[in-house]
Amino acid sequence: MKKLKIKDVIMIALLSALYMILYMLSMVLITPLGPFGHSIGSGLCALLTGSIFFFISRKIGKFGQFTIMQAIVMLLFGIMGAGYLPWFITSMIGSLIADFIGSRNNRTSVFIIALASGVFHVGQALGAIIPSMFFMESYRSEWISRGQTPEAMDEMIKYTSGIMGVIATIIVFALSVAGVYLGYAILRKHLDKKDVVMA
Amino acid sequence: MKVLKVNPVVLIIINIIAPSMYVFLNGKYLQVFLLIFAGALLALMGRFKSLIAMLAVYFSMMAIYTVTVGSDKFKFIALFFIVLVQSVPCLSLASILVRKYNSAQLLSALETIHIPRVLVIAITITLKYIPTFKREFSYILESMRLRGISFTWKHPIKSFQYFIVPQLFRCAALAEEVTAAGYVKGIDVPTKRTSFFEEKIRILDIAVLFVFVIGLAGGFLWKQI
Repeated sequence: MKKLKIKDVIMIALLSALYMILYMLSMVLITPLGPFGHSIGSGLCALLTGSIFFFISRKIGKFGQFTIMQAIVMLLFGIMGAGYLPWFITSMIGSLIADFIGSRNNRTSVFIIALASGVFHVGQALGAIIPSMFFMESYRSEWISRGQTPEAMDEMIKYTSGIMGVIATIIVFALSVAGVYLGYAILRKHLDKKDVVMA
Repeated sequence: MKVLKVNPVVLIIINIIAPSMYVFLNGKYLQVFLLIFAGALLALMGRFKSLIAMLAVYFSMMAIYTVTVGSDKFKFIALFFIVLVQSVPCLSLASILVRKYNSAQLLSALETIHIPRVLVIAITITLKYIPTFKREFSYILESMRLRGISFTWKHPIKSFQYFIVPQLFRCAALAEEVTAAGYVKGIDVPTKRTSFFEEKIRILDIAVLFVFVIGLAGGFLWKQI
């Protein structure tokens, strides 16, 4: 397994900046859908950033690429005052699994990259789903303390717990897979033939 | 008037600790405390434009919240802003990290907290690249204008492609340039890095952290009362 070089880390850092911007854009776009939109927000982000995933996999393709990207994103959200511990934990676990799935080399098939992106973003989505399923009271009281109304939190919990939580997870995963295929469709004519041959 | 110079690490510590305190403290208290604390810090650091911007954004968001929270149709806007508004003080402090300190200062400061160098470099680059995004986007728009191409909602995928492809390849080209510049400055040398900007934790930094901790302790007392 090849190790990440300084150049790879710098490219991941620059692409993480682009990822952050698209993440924030997706949060704004999903707002009209209310609590349900919030529960699948990382799915919309994945749809927009699938091309970044495909690009990273083709240009770097080394173990640790997704974990470093997630760590940067989480640290920056932390620095911006938007950190949330369960979200950090599930996201980091998701990105590590994504690395195990899709970071063997830079010729990984599009389907495997799509799976990795799915796991990566499901990890982010579980940051809201797991607390509302298993630690509902503390999750509810923390966000009420952060300014949400009790009614809005009940609505949010409705969409992130039980069967709706499972549906939200599936939607996030499906959007992530679609995002990578969209990225592939956009980038295939821009990358070298050897870069897309494994698709 | 002499302005306060705060170690960037202190700002990072404050921003990481502050949001996690919502679990333990009264949300309203913490929000008001952070607004006052960030405002005072910005004023002492001589960042008056940032202070005015922070207050303007905060009160605008609160006004939108107040107007929309009563309406069933626009309640989603209120709920979006009430979560966003709590990040305004922290975002203002984070903006200082990007605007006030250069990359060398940030690297030097972050290395004092002993996180892996790879992560230090990555965070510094990401922090410094985000503000340049607007300029990069204007370059893309200019190139598109010269080619007679424009964004259109009729073809969302094509329009998205016009935006994302140049950005991705620009990142790849920039990575080459930044790596070359980094190698020249010995970024890969395994020994401890020295810097013209020695960002050590000083008494003033400890005083800032002390005031922050006192404020949080006040929140615990507030909750007891």
